[in-house]
Amino acid sequence: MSDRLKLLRTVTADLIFLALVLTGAAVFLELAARALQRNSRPLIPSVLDDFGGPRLEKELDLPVKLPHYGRMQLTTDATGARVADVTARSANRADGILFVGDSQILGWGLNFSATAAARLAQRVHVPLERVTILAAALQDPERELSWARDYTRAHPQRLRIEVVALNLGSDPDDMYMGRAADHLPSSGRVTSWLSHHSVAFIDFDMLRLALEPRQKDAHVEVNYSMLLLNDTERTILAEGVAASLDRLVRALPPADQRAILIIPQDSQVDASQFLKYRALYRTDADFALHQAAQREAVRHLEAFQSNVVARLRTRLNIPVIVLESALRAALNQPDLIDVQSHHLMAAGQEVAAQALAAGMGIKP
Amino acid sequence: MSRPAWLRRVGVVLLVLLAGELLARMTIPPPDVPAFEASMDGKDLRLIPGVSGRAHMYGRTIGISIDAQGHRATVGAPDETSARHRLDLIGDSQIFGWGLSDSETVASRMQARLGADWLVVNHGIPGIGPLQYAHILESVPKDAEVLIVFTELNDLWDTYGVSSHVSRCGFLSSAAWPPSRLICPILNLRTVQLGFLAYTNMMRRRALAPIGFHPSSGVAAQILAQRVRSMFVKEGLRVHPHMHFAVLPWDGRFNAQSRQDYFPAANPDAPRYFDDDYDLISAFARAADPPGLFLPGDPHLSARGAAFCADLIAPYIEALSRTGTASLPRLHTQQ
Repeated sequence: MSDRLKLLRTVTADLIFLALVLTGAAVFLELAARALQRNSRPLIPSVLDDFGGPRLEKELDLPVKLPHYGRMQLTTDATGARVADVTARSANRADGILFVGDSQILGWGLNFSATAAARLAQRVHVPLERVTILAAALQDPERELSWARDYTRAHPQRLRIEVVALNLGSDPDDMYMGRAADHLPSSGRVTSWLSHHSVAFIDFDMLRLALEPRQKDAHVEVNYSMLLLNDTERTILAEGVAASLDRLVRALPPADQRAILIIPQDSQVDASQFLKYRALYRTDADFALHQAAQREAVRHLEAFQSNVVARLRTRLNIPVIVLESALRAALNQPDLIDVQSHHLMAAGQEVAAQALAAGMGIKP
Repeated sequence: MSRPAWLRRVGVVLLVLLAGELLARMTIPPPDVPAFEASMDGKDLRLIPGVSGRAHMYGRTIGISIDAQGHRATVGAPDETSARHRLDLIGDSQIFGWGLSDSETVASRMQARLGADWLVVNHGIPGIGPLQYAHILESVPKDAEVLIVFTELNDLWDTYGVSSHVSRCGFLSSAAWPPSRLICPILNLRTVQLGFLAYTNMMRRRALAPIGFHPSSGVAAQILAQRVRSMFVKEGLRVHPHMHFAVLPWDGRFNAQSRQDYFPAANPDAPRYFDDDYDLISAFARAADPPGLFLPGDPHLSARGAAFCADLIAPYIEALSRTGTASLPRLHTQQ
């Protein structure tokens, strides 16, 4: 055997060995990540639709444990809507309940039974299998239209109750500034596959994002749209929000009762809520600057909220329920608003369900 | 491996790289001319006065010259003292003439149409938007005619005021490059430039659909359009007494294949976001082969597109010198 052939064999054997070691290491990392997280996902799998809006992946049924939240079970149907469990996927939705919104309505980090939709269903004795939540993080009333249309095509049955939510914590910012920071669909098949199937890959990606220096002024807890826009522009935004909600409601299946739910920013409910974001700022001075900015933003948010409500009441002959005062009245309750974000926790979702029931004239 | 052999191999690699660099320099002009300067954060982007050179763009070699005032040279422009009228064109890369030779820009084609009675000044700078147009407008003489050419592709994006264009060693570049002149020898290597170009072409990704064409950007577009309007029209009057507006259409309006490069799927019939005295969108739509008015695979105007714009606009400007401003049609207000 010639030296050249021997060298070729050695190199080939080395490459095979290296591939085996790398594969073994990848499998080990994946198993370790899954074991540490008890096989739950640290993120909610989602996809981008033809409006560039995120939807939950269809036909999911998996445990999810979002950072600092409890473990939750997430089940979706063929349209990507969140449903109570696997059997609810094929259940008849007629006379059911549909909630539409973003992460607040989805029940960020909460089990299905803890969501406002499920709690309202309990009050009106609608079985959970007829409750549907059409919501995903980073959705907003303008781009959820495409998902709503697709849902209506799949489930045109008349519903008993429909609730469409406006999240003042992020929707106005998403509608004005969000399009400049939109995501493109995943560029590579391998990356896309890994992000959907590998817990370790998602963990590493989250770690990478956490280690990246935070972009200057990229703080989602501050409502920048309220600060960057002038009075005329805020009026255009208010009209745009009202028109988008109007279109969204009209795109949904017919329903006996409909309502718009306006969820406030946490610092609208109580200015001290902003203190929980101190850890996101390097210095006291930087924090104080942003805290003062958010105080100013809240002042504009209050006027903006009134503007949107007035426009909605003119456009749509349905109840518009503003949750702000109900949440403020419940501030002494534990588990009302998340301690690290503006998300409503179980008690907050219950307050929303109570406010909706009262606002829609629903008696238990 | 013995040290001399190791050194020999390094030497061979260096010689090959050197030969490659020499070969590239002898056969292909650079893909760009280093004509840009800006503050390190990308603000105050401007052209370097007196720079000129040849660049290989979109499959051909073009000549780019910047005049002593820091404007893209207008071929055939008379002396400031000998011209009776002046026309200032304000815009971004489309007015600069990205991918075009000096003689092919809208400004040079307008100059050719208007003749030596007119001085056409090209204020186009790649990477700027309406916020900077308003700033440039302040420097334009009040008795000059001014044509502001808005670009549907990216002017509304630019109106957010978060542009990430920076200048490194005269090139428009990513902010990821260190703000040090030490990188200039690397950026000036022809093989590196060609390598970047090849990489960009290979890794070409879809871009976000332009604001206004993006199917869920209607609200943002309305707000940003209002912001643009407030800069150029106050209490119903244009802020400069001799100001004209034109809106250069996005090539995706006329080219389904081009729209494939954008996400999400864009609406090609989106309303124009600003006034246009010349209704370029309709004119482009009526032209023979509208996609041919743009460079192949790129949203910038082709030489034919620039000439088309000049041919469309110049007669109105020319009429001004004969009949005055009152006769200029204010044809098309915001849709």
